[in-house]
Amino acid sequence: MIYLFFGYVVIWTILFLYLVFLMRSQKQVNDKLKALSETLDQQD
Amino acid sequence: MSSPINTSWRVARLYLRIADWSLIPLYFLMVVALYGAFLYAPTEREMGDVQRIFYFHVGVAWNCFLAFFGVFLGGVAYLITRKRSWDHLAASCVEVGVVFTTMVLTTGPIWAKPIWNTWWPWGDPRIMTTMVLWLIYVAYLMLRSSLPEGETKYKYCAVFGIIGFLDVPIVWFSIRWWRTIHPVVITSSGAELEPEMIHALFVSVIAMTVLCVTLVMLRMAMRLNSSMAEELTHS
Amino acid sequence: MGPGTWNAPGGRSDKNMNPIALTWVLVGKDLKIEYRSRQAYLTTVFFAILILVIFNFAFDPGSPATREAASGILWVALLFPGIIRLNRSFQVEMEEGTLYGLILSPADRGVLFLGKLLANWLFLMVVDLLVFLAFVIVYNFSFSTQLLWIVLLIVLSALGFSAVGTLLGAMVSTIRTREVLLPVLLFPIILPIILPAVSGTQEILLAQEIQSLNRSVELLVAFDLIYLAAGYLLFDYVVAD
Repeated sequence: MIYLFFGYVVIWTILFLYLVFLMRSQKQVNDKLKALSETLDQQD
Repeated sequence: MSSPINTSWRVARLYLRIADWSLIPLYFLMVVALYGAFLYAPTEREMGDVQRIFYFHVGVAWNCFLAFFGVFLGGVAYLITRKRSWDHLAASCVEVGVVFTTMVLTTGPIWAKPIWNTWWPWGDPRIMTTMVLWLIYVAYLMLRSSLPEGETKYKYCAVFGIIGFLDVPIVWFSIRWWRTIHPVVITSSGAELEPEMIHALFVSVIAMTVLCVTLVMLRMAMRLNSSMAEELTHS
Repeated sequence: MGPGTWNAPGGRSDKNMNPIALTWVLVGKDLKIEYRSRQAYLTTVFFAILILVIFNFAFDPGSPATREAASGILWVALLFPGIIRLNRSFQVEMEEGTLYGLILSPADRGVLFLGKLLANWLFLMVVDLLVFLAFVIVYNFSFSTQLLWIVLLIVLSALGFSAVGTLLGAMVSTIRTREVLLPVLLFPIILPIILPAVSGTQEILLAQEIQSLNRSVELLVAFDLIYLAAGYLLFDYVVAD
């Protein structure tokens, strides 16, 4: 049981880190889009 | 920046922020849930250790229906307001929902086989309803992928989401009724729950719910970002 | 307007028609169209009968197990004409562009739904009853007045099937993969029809105690009402462009 527990904690941690990575990259995309849209506005 | 894009941006930002705040609690909730299921909860007397799947199975299962309610809500709201963000909600819920439903339908048989010596106990209302739910989710995805982007797609998917949502309780009741006529020998959960088990279950349900909501929010933020990108490249 | 126009009786324009009259006109239009192509229509019946026969070969014809399963076989065989009927009903609309003609008319969309629904239901019932007739003969059941209950089940389930089917059929009519997509969308939704229908039919055919028949009818009626209402309300979203 202990092995299973630690095994699943490891798996979960890996998945979780992937989730965090996705979140961060979406934030970056979000920031870039904001910058892009402001640049476009300035050009108008 | 132009107003609709600004709104999209702020909403996406909001979702990302909420999801961000929920990340650390989510991590620890899940670890506690794992601890609860494997170490804290006692081994079930009749079923043995395989019963421990049940903590995740139930935690995930309720979220399938929660997500489907999200699909229904998104559909109705879209038809009323015609705002695309409601379609984002529906689509995100379908994606997360179908994954969760697949997990329920996989962990179910894994649990069932050692206990009842059958992979698939026909006639159990919950199992059959979940299977129909899965079919409706997949049908929704197929409908979605065969329509070109645009208002029509969102409208049609909204209609199908509503029809599907109406169907689920009907399926449930009709199977339950059928079971009273054709009683199935297998009893669904003969397990008596000791207090520690209830605690473990409780934590697991909360952990899975937070996971589901976080995933939906992330997907919605992704969709909002991509629709913003579309608009910016077209303007 | 193009080839999709039709004349209201008496040559009046449809603006002044009340909903009920309009519904009947729509049904009449569909009936006329289908009558002209009754060839394809009879082929559908024949196809369903073939399915019955194939099942007869696939399962051991004489065994009691087959008789138990007969009710299920009947209802599986009845699904096919349903789908074919729905596909055809909207195929005609697509080909002639008549759906757009109807939409442009000031008729209420709900009325359009009812008109299409009634036509589909009538046709489906006729086909289903013919298939049922063949079934009784091929599977060696005896004719008795009890069979009328099965007729009732067929009528009710055809209504529910047509209600959901008309709504979904209109929705997929513009999609290329509609013939395969329609069953994929429709079958999960109409699953709750099958259980009561098969249960009730089995009891009658095998002359068992009537336990489930009343509830079967109730369940089917409930299903029908829910989806009639849903279809009536949602049809607008499905055809408006």
